[in-house]
Amino acid sequence: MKPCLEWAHLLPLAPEELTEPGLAQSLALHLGDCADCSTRQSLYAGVRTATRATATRHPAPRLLQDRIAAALAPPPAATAVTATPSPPGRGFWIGLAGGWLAAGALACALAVSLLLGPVPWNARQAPSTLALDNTAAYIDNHARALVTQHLVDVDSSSRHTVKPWFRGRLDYAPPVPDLAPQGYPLVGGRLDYVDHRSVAVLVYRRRQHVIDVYVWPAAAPAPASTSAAPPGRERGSLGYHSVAGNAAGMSYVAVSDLDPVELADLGRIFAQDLQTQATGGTLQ
Amino acid sequence: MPHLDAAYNLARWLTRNDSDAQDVVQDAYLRAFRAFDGLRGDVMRPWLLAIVRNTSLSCLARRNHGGRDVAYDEALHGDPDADGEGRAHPLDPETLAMRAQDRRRLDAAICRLPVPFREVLILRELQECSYEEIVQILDIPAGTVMSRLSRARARLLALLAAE
Repeated sequence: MKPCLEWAHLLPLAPEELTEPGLAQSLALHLGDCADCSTRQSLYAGVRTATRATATRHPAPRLLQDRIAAALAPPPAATAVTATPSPPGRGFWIGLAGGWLAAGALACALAVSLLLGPVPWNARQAPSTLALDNTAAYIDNHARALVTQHLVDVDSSSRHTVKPWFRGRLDYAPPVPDLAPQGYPLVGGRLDYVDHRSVAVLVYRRRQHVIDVYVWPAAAPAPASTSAAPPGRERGSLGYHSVAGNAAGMSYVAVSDLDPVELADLGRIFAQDLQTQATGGTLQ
Repeated sequence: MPHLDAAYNLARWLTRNDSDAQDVVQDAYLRAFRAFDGLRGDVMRPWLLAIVRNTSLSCLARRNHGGRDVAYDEALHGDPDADGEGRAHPLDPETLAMRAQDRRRLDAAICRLPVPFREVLILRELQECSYEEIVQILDIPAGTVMSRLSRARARLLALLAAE
């Protein structure tokens, strides 16, 4: 079995892989005449099929995703709780992922998981306190949305698309401020579940940073919620920060890896916009 | 994490070990995320795989103390007879088919392919990339994809037959 030299280099290829026009036809003609080349070609077809069916497709190790997510997380903020020790046996992992970055993120994951659950929804608490107490839950949800790439359910930079999308999915209508003029374009919205209730999440972007803003009706009528909304209290957890506050009868928590000063700025203009929408209603 | 299996599979085949492949993929994803907001969508796949591939080659180069380019060029322009097409194979088709369906044997043969052939073969057969995607990932013309793929399969056949 000796293939003809001028055809030999084409025999390993499938017909659809012969890109030059006319090549497949002239090869087919030749194969009709030449038993050797024909045998050889079917041999290749067999190897091709076997390769696709048999050769190992290595799936990514389960920990690799965590490792990358950890490395992507920004370094711990100064306010972070870094005291949580890494569990034993993870040393190699941390070494691979580059020391403190991974350690910080791991500690973050631990801290978050420790804080989750034991914090019940308590409607009698003042909303802002409530929000702050649940910082870990919001940060956890934010991080999970980032890692799983499930950032938005409704993907639109238009508030006129995002706002109606929530209709029928929630028992309240979340305000959707357009903050693009201030440098925070809307990315979309999603439903999230925090403390036993569905919550609207508005997703904004600032440069490459993603900002989640959780919005829900304030549990108690916000007293004296006119004038400059409370500036929002800021809290950090290992690279993620959150800002919470009340405005116009709504509670909000913004979570991001954005610089805390900028995040506080976002919280301020978000609250201002809510106030404006509430008082100047007709604008909407 | 989008395309993670595809990325890891390519890196794993190119570096031929798990630890390097994980490092490569992590490194590639960090670069990718820095360079771009997100990695969603099929359009991102060739671009991401190109980063994974280049990172893998750098990793190999480090491992071989800078021997990458020599090895790479040698594989491409070395002894043409190594492709196996110059020789006739005494093996009968049934035996060859049997060997190709033996995963351990097939994997080992693919691993022995020089990188330029291994990468095009993995992309085409295991990642099921189109020519256009391979053109993007390897940064070579479509005609070169075709000839390299042909030579990769010829070598693979020769390796399987030569056992």
